[in-house]
Amino acid sequence: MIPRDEYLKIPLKDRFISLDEDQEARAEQLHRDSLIIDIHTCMLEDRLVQQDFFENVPRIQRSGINGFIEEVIPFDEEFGPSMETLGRFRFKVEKHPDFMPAFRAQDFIHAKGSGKQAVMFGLEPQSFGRDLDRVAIAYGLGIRVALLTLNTRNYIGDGCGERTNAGLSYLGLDLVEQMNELGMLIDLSHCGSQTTLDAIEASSDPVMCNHIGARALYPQLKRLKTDEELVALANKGGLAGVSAIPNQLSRNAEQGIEDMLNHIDYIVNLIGIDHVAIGTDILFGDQVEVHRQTDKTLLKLDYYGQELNAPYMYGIESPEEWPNITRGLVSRGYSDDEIRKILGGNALRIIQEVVG
Amino acid sequence: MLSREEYLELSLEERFVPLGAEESKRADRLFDQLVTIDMHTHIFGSVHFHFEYEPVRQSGMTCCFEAVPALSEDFQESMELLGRYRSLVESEPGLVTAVRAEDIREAKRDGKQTVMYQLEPQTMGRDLNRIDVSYGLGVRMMLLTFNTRNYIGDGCGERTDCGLSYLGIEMVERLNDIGIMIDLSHCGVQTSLDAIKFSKDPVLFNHTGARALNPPVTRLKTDEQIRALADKGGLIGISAIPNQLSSQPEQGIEDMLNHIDYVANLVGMEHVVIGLDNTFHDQVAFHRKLAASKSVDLQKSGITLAAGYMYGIESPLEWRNIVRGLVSRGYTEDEIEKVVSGNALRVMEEVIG
Repeated sequence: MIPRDEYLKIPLKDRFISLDEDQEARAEQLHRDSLIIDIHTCMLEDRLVQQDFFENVPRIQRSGINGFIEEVIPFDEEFGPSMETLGRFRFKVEKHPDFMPAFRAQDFIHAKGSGKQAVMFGLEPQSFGRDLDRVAIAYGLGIRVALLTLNTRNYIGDGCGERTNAGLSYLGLDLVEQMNELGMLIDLSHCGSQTTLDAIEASSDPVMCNHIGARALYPQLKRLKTDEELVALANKGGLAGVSAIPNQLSRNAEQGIEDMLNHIDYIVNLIGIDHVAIGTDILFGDQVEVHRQTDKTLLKLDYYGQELNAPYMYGIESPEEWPNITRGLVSRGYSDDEIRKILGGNALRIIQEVVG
Repeated sequence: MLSREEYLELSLEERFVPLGAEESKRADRLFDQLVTIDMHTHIFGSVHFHFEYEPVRQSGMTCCFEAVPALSEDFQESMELLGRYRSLVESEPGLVTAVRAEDIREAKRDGKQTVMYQLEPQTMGRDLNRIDVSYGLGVRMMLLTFNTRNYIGDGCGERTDCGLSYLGIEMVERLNDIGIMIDLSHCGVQTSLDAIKFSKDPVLFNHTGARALNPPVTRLKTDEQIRALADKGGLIGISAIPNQLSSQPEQGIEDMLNHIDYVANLVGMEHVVIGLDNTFHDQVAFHRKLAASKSVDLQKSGITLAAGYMYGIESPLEWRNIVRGLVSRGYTEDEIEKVVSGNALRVMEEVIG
């Protein structure tokens, strides 16, 4: 694989999957006309990665997506600082004329209609501690999605990188109930297996795993969801968002868009076209370097089986290459209807059902 | 059975374990001579702050290892409460803050009483640097969990029984390194066993009893846990909280002595200490309030509120009744000295200095 800095010199269209003329036209039209929602992004944060929002706006716009669920990452799972980060995110969105905040399904439709991009806000993970009154506070301040755990244990459950596989705690059951009541989407992407299964069962609303892949295709990586988890998720109307994170879909030294498409194919095959979406979770900066750094602190890689074999994902290295996902779905033979569902139709449906 | 109000109207003599005249004098002398250490106290109240110096002074206890309660597990809150406790101790000439075994011996020589501090439970959240802060502010013991799950492990009243998390193992190592005692009284079984396994220092169950004598109560420790802890030099503190040692409507000092007998028989007298967990107020009314507030669901740890108080060990004034009780059960002076001070001082020297 050519080094990342050389890859970035290649013009965008030359990084893309090659299609014949008809497919090309179809892909372009689908990408332009469909409602596209990336259900797990990290594009506004300018601390963790080397990116500045205002500099990146043209690149976010080049992605062609109509909306995205941007994650606030609470350091040490502390509530106060996480709400401050949310405030910073909302400030950026409010101040920029081409963006608008999204608090309900209709906002995404409205954004597309007016040529803006809609931003819904999530917590990764929830920072409620032991005080479930904070769920309403977070909701009031604009949060509509929350991950129950990151890779380790918290008051709610065990993460996928924890030494044990505990299910939800009693407080966890209470939290699920509270989120159902308020209409906040529950996400289980980083949870361990038992916590995932417990939450799917306990929730009266459909839930999400918004940036994952299929464990069957990469068995050592505990960040990916097993067939059992995916089937349970879909049986209760839930949504699996396939990510494009380097080294989380494949352990090969060379990986890219084809691996992402393999995971999409697998999961569609397993649980059906109505339960798959896209949650890329990719950055404008050197994501693998970020993983290298956070290995020392937040997310110890070998706890959940991750290696850093590839330096980036060719064909989906940053959100700018988002149109390549649509091209990829065309190349894999999906129909227009199916593509529209994956790109945003399914996401809109679950947001409408749970959040309103 | 008397109501709690009626019981409190009895004279001390009427509440005490009956002993012959000689034995009575011996027990009194022993109590007055010995350093007496309660390894888990609530002299400043529990969730609701309350302090009366006089009953504590009259109790004659040399050391109260006071629990700083932290149900919210909020660090700042716990440090502020600790500060409040410490300022009260500073303002009382007869009380002294202790941070090591020698401080307790010195206080006994000087006719004073000492207070030490433990966090119940620890409030480090995900930031283990707070351990250093806590140490600097005088904390010398921490409970890893309360009855539910936290970042470290599962409590005894949780729906699951998972062991220590990775962070939990790190925390145990940090506490060992810095010299803070680890207590597992409220932890679930696997979390307790993991902590015993991973700790290089002896650890404690500082306010508990033997599960074998009252099986439904998960706050009590199984034989397996007691043995594992004792094998690594740890201490089991017998408590006197109503409705934990027994589920009978009448319970008291005899139940406490039964638990002491059981544990001494199981692992030896060198591992038994006293940790009353007594608030010196109407515990059961307080437990009822807790149960109503859902913050501590007692049913989830198998507790039913059958008795209104513990006869013979209801207030700090009855601390000396423990020594009377031990005399009545035929323990030697050596053995009694171990239980009320020697064992605790030994482990303190080993772990905190």
